Amino acid sequence: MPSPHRSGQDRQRWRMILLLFLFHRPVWGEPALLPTAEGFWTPDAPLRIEAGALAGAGPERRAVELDDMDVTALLTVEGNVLVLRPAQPLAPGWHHLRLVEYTEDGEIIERGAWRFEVRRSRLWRERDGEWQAGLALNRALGQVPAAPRTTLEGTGRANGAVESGRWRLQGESDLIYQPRDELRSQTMSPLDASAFAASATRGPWRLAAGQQTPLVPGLIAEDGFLRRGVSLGFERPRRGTRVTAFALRSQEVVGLAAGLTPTDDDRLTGLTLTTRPLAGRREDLLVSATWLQGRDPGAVGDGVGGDPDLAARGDAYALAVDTFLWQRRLRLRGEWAGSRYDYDGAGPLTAERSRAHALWAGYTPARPLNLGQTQVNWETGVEWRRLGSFFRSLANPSAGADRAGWRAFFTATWDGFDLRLDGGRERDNVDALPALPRIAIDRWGAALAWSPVQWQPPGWLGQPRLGLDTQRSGQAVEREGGGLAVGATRRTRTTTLSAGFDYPLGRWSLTHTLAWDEDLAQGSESTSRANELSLGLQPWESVTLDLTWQRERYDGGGETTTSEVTDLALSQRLSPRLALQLGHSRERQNGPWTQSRATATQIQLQWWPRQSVTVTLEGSDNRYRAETEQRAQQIFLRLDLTWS
Amino acid sequence: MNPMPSMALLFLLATPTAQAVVTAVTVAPGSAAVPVGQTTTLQLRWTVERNADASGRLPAGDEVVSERGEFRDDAGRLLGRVERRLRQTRPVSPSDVFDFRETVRVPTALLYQAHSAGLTRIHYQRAFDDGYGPRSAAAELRLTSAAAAAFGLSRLALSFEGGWLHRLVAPGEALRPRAVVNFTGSGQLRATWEVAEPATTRGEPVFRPLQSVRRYLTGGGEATLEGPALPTRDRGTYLLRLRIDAPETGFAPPVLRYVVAPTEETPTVLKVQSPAVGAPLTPETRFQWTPVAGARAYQVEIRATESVTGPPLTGLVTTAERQHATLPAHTRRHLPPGRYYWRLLAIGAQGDILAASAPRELRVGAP
Repeated sequence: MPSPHRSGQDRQRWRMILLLFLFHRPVWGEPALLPTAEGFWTPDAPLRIEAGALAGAGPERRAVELDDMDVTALLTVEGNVLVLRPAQPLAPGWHHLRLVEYTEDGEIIERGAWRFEVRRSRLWRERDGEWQAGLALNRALGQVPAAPRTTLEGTGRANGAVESGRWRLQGESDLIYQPRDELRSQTMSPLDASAFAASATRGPWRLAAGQQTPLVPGLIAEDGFLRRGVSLGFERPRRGTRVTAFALRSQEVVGLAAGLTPTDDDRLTGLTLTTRPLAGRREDLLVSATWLQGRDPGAVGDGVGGDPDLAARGDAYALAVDTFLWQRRLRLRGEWAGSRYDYDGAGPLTAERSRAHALWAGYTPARPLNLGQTQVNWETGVEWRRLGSFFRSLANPSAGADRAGWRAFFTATWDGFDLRLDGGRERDNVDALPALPRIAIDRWGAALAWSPVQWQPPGWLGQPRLGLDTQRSGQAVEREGGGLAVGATRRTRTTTLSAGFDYPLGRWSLTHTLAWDEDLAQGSESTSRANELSLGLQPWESVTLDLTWQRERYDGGGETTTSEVTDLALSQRLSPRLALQLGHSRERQNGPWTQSRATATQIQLQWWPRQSVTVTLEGSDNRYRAETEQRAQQIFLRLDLTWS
Repeated sequence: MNPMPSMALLFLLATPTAQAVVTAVTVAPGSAAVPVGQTTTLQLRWTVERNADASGRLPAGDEVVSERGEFRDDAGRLLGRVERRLRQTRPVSPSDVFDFRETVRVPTALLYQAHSAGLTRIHYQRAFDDGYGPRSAAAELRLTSAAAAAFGLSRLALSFEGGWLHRLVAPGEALRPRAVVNFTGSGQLRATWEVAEPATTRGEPVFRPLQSVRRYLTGGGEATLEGPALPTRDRGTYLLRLRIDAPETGFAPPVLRYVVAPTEETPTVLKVQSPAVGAPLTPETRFQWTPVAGARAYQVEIRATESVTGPPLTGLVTTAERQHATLPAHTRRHLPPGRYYWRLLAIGAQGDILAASAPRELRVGAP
């Protein structure tokens, strides 16, 4: 006979089972990305998610993202399965898919997230190549001084990638054929690659050659420091660690003819390390360290003007820490750097050592500030920075030096308004160099922009945008030297008003800037008043019109200078194979020492007789009048051919 | 016969003229403040005066020459040279004033060398000679900090977005330049972005203005100038430069080149109605467009910059039956407050891009 106690336990057990069945979501009901028979996805393969009850719910209850793009509209339902057929073939490599649910109380809950691999085949993840080429034959109609009558130009693009899953080779290049020296960069040959990049990856190792940006931006490396060279890297993504050794040109060059590797006089070598040491919270802490050394040939390369005789050499190092605290509301960043810079390279001058550091803190509250019925979202921050008087890095040639000071900012948005306030003070002669003055510089600024959010403006007003921006700065000598006495030396104010209006068929905007500058040391002042009008219209689908007009008046030193620039462009599609473009620009300058007028008029007729063939007839008339008058009229017939 | 007049005549003929015909040389400005540790450029005006000699004779020479300029310290020690010859030829007259204008770049290393030697000033001098003896003048260069120095540009670096010095782009592709200037002192920078388009580069390149730049720069340092949207309609080679009108620079304006290359299938421009340029993104923001024939789907892409290379940050894809869309909340969460650019693609049945709109600015405020 069963014991009463035992039967009570059984009832309790069955009661628990019943409760679990009714209220606990079974493990086998979790959404899942169904695998393919091959074990991988091809670029055109559909993606199937077993979503259970969510599959039958409408798009207002569930959504799917592919690589952070919402693709809910492309879903079809097959029973409990959501089927996604991407609009475009997926690129080989890793992708991520996400399923979210919108609950009845408005929450968004992630119900599943998957990474999946797209491959061309089991053997090859990727094997792709593309190329494109074009030739253009130009014929001058009439005599063109100092230029060939007939010219041939060419362009090409090539890129390719091969990947097995364990290793990858990738390369891309832009090719230019340009026989005329004045139309080529100084380091290019007539047939050359203007840019190229190649990389080889195997496991955690990566070798790169060509244009690249291996440095971490900061005090010793400018943001986007793009240079040609080679680098070798080792990366552990799961540990958030990367180490890269690099050998680059310190001056950027164009053209493969300039070589791939650095030269003795133009090189930058070093090492950079980044790591995210907090396991489980990788995004909350970043530590980076960089060391570099090299030689700089001076401002002799493309795109740069300055001191061509600065054949310097030096080295620099930096250590930076970037962290988020307090549920990512507070961000702290600190960087410490040092440099050793020799202004004449192998010459008799000794290298100058200097240090720098920067500390930055920013705060973003978790919730907006409630002012009555208005919610204000705001954030604020402060920075302290000290750069030694001779702090210089070969990888940051445009960075300033000899500054110490603080800067603070505050931003807020509410009801279509955007407000930004910032200000700060800094001083120079940081290292207290004798006989040099110390100058304090104050800068303050405020910017307010508005565009309607809740209010629907009348049709004639379009979509308006209004803005007000004002900047103030002042300088004062705090310690005399260099012929300057203690006291205020300069005040500058700039105020800009802007208004823009957008319509379905076009847009227009107007900007007025008033600037005033007072040199207290010289007892002089100057003012500048500038206006700019911009207009864009597309009254019909085949016609576009763009107009820009700028005018500035400068009063200073008892003299007045005015300048005016006007640019007008009109394009019209006459037929599916015929287009007309007109352009006219004009510049006027009037001043006590210069009076000049320049006009440029262009007309172009383009015809596409067939695909990949374009015939163009164009002419230009350029006039310049100052002390003498110059005029140039040129007419060309051009044939463009393309292949891919 | 008295021999004295004959002897006096012989004496006058035999004795060379002792007094130089160049009577005075001055330079303006006579003094300038130059920065320690940066190159600087001086605009100097040399004035040379010549008169008839004491005997009243007109000089035989009619040319005034200065072979070189020299940097020296207070003790006269040579620090550096500028091997540039200044020369003027003038018809002979009893009195002449010669004006020479010179732009002198003072090398960075020389200024640092002077500072290292404990100097507080150096001198730049020239000697002018018309063949009857030289006279010289010097401008005083006072060493000071970058903020206190005379207004000037020590460096100008041009690049396209991403730091590129040369670009190959498709017709209609967005392209903007950027200039970073290092300057000393304070003053107004006056410059003009100029471009030479294929209509002239096919023959003799002629630059035309795009946009003028007027900006007060103060306290020495560096400044970034964002350039205008560059023309990319016409195919061919373009030359781009930032012409500096003031202050005077001691270097030629750097030039960048970009090429607009024909692509076999350039997507048609897709017309969008909303949202407008610079509109804020809200839950009600409606992306609306004109339908494209043959489209299978439309894709709204949102990026952090105007450049359309690389994958977008986020966006959405919708079917061709719709000509409008709003971003759902889970998509808007990918966009922290800031400025973005969106564009629309029309995608064909084979996954090819049939049409694309130009990038438009979109502002995202804090939630």
